[in-house]
Amino acid sequence: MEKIDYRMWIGLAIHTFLSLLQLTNPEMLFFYVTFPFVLLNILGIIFIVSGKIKTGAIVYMVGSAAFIPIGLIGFFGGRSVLNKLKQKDFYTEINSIGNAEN
Amino acid sequence: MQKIKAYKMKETIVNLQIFGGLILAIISLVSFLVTAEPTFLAPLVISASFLVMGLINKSRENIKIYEDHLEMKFAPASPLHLIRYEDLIRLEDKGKNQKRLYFLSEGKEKKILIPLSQHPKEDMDEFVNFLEEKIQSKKSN
Repeated sequence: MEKIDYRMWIGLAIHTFLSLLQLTNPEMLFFYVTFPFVLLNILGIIFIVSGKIKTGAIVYMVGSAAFIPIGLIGFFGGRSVLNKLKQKDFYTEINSIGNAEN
Repeated sequence: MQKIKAYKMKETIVNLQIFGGLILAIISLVSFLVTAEPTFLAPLVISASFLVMGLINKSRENIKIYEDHLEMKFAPASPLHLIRYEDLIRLEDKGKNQKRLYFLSEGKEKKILIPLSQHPKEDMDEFVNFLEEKIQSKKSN
């Protein structure tokens, strides 16, 4: 769970609220448009928890992009997860090169 | 890992984002309160996001230089680029205010656009010189 950025939870809560708010609208068209993106957010989090961090973060970011500008909160969270993963891989590579040279 | 140097965005750009966003947010909010027209909520959210971007950019360091590598991230939502000095290949001009940096990543040649105009000129002159020095020292080895 620590792999998931707190902004992703905030984003998910806002996106779910906005999507469910459309249920009060008699036409419900916006609910059918926005809810699949909330499902993408949930799917992204499931992927991250199950260890597929890169795929999960990308899926989550696609789901958040539909809610921009408020979706930027979740988008930043997803991007932060990807950047941390990149940083971790990079430092592991640097350290392994350093150890091989010593 | 010890950070040697860091470069931030130009203050005029950050201030434009903050104060521009703030003024637009106030205008949209007042218009919404006066007219009770929900159409003014969209510009309010957009201007508020400008303001937030400006506040994030105020403290964010775009370029960080470390002993053996550098980190670049030019916008809050943009990907992070981590490049070892030994992976640098060449630096090319791309228009008046941009440079294109070529580097190796996982055995493949990749490129990144460095927006010089986003940063103070003296900072970018120093940074470009630093990159050229690193590329030259790699070539001479």
